[in-house]
Amino acid sequence: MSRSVLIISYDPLAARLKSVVEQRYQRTAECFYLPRRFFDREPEYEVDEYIRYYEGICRYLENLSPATSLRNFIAIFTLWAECKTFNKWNPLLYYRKERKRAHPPELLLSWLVLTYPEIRWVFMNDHGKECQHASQFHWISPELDLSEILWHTACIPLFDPCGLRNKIREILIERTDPEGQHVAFGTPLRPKQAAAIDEESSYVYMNAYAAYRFGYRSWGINSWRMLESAMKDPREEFDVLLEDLYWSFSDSPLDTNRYEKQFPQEKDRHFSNLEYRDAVLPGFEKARWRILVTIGPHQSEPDKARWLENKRYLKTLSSRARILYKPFAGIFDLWKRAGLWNNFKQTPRQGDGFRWPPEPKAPPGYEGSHSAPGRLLNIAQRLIRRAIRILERPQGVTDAIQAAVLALEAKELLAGRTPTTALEALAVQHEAEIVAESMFLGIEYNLNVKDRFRDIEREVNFISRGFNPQTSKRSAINARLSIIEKLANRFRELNQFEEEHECLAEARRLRLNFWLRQRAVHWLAWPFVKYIDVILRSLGHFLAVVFIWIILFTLLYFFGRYNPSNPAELWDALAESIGFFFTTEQMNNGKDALFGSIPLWHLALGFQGLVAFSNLGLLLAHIYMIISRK
Amino acid sequence: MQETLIWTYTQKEGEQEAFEAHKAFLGRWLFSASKDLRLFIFKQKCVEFRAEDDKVKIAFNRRDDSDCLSSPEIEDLELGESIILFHHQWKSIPGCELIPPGIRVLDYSSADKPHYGEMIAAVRNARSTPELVEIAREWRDFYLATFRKDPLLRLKHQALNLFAPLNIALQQIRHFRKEKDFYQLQRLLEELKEDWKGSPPFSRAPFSVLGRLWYLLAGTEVHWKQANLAPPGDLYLPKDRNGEEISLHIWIKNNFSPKALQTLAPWKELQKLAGLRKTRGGFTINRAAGIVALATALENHVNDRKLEGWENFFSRAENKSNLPGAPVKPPLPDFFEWYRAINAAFDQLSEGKPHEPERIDHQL
Repeated sequence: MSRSVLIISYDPLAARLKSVVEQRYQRTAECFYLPRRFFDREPEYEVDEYIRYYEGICRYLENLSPATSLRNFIAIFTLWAECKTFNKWNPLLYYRKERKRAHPPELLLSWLVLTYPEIRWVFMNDHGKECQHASQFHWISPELDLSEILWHTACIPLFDPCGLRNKIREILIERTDPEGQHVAFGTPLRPKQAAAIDEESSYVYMNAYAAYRFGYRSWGINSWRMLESAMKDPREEFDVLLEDLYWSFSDSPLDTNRYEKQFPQEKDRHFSNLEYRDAVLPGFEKARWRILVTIGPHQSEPDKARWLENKRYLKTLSSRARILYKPFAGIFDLWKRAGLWNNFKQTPRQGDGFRWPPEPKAPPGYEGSHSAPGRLLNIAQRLIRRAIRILERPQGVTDAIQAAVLALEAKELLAGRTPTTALEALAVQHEAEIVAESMFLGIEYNLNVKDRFRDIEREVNFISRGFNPQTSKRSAINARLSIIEKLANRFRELNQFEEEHECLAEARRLRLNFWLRQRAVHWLAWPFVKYIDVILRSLGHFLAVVFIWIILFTLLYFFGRYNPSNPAELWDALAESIGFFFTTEQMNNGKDALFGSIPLWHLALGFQGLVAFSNLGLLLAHIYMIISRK
Repeated sequence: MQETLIWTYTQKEGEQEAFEAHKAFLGRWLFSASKDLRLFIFKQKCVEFRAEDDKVKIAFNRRDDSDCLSSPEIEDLELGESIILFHHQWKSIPGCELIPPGIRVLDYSSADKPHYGEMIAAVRNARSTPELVEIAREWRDFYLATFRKDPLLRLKHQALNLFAPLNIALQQIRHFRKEKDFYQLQRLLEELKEDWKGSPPFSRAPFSVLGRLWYLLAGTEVHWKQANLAPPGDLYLPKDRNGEEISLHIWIKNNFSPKALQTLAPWKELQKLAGLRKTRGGFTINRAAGIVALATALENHVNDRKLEGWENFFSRAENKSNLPGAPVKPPLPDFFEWYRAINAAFDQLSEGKPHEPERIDHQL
């Protein structure tokens, strides 16, 4: 993958680094200069100076076109940064000027890391080997050897594999305001890690995103070098592995002789042999959940035999293994079919230690305010703005996933505070997700939107608790309606007709709900409006309702016009009901009264005519819409 | 010698509760078991600093306030060297500007995550007077170390930053030599020559950079005139409360006893690495030091744009392969090892352990 390098440094170090990066590593390098005194840690008693630098760097990065290019950026920030305890990485740190307490430069770094999750940020390591192991992709060794950083260019920082953003969040959630309230309570942590391994980037991004979304720091791995670096160490523990069964990385090792003793036959020394895979990369064997995402077994040898051997091997592992056949119907479907789903609550199973949405009732001292801290809001707004910009013209799955992560980060940083912005983030996240799902050829044509609606409802209900309690329900419905209408529009653009239709049906239901709550008198119209809502949900609903009407009128005629003691006449009643329903022509059978009453008979006819006319009109319009859209 | 610690707390919810759980102990002297530390805890709003007859006193005032009852045990305590003030946002105390520079002021804050919470919890859970004094001692030491380390950290980063461009340039040279890309090597040497133009102390050439390192280590105590040099004017040394610049030597003097100063291994190692020699009146330059030779040789090599002879800068093994009988040239130190050693020596100073830093096995 082609990477650009941004060097944030001072003269002359910036020039030297640029020259090394370009000449030795053949990468494009740009420099952004900050004053030398910043790198020399000249004390800053006011944060204004850092804000100025931050704005300057943001301006530079946001002027780059296209916005998705940041995904390929490695930013080398030549500050010797604290990486042992991360105590200085508090994005909300603020000392009043008169206290004469210097703000650490890590403050600026924490803002940048949170604002640009897609960039791989690299800093100078102030603590030697201690930090080097923990997050090797973010730290230049004290000897200033760049090779570690620039060889592993396939590292995808978007899903926080090394936990840099997670560390900042750990500091963040401990932060209190002057009243002692934890201002960022609810911002979730991801203590566990997952990995998505596939040679196809789209699968890597999609699967890694699913893992990230449901609470795992996640490694997106599409090169052997990265895989080896992440999995070779037996100390690495992965909770979930979404691994392709058959992979062939462009940089796969050709030398497989190292395991000759253990696997004497050459045909066994193949990475689609899971036993061999686990022997070479011990990180696999320790995973709690192994999800094999595959197209299924080949029907010819040796794949067929290997497939059976793999199935046998999986049974011997302590990990819980699942085989998931491509394609699947979106992110929710992937998680569901992977067995990571709570069927009773209809919710995804989240990573241990990750909780989203957060507890609706925070413990004392953690309630905080309705507003997110200003700095976090500022970061969240930047994230949302960039996600929207990417979604204007996404070029592929990875672009949409990038936008989804930006919005997701914004949403989680706000943790439901400042509800309007939090809802905006949520809307953009779902929009980006459906764009990714729709653009991905590895996903079924029809997407799972029902679980998405449930997810939206859960999250909107959580965020809306920040609104006035008297109107929070209405606000929640309103928000869901806006989000789902946006999704419907997006599905229309993407020619996903069934999904658009499901969104419209859901939106109609919500609109009805919203309309009923506007005024008490509206409840009088509830049966009619509800009826329309039900019949328009799907063609199946429609036909079922027509059938019910026909049966109802059959029974009415049977008991009112025929002899109920003679079941044979039921057929006549049915024929009369069907005939009138579809032709609105009265059957000439000499009977012109209902329960002996002629006016009642005319009334019944009129009512059935109304029902038939309106239903058939709607049915025709509905069928026309389906045919014309398809 | 008995030390005195004055600890004041503010009205913040958790803080007030934590301290007032020990109401009986507030406003009077508390002593450690060995009597080496006495502690006085009081509400910060009741405190002010006052200058009287060339002396600065800490006064417990506001007798009109029921929270600030006068304490007969402590009235107009004169600020002396054995006193450590431990305040929450000390700049908010009236008369804080009068505190003499020699007095150690520790400033804690609720922003000191996660330590602040731990400190307040420890105070709240203290069960006896000696325990409270020990908690005070522990946090005094913690904040002393934090404030103490700050200038050292800055000096370390400045020192490393000074040589970072040279480090990268030498990596490039090594790479071009390995790749036998002499065209690029020549271009690089031309660039470096251009970069290093100018005369000390303003040049970026290795010798001028070394001069800056000397300034970081010993400041104006270096005999600049004797060495025919001028002190660099483009460095930001840390400053004390008086605005006086602190070189590493001053920092060490402030934090270690005079005896420790003589034997402190990392400090001695730093002087040796940097080519400084301590004399009675200050520091002189040791022209025979490896790094001085290296800096001079590097400058000459780059100025002459020599493509050969670089093995002397990188590989000691190559140096040793001189023909038998040929005069043995003193080997130049390996710059990368030197850089690592400087880093390590600063780290060991920061740990406060007067033990030997990692030895580097070349002749310096």
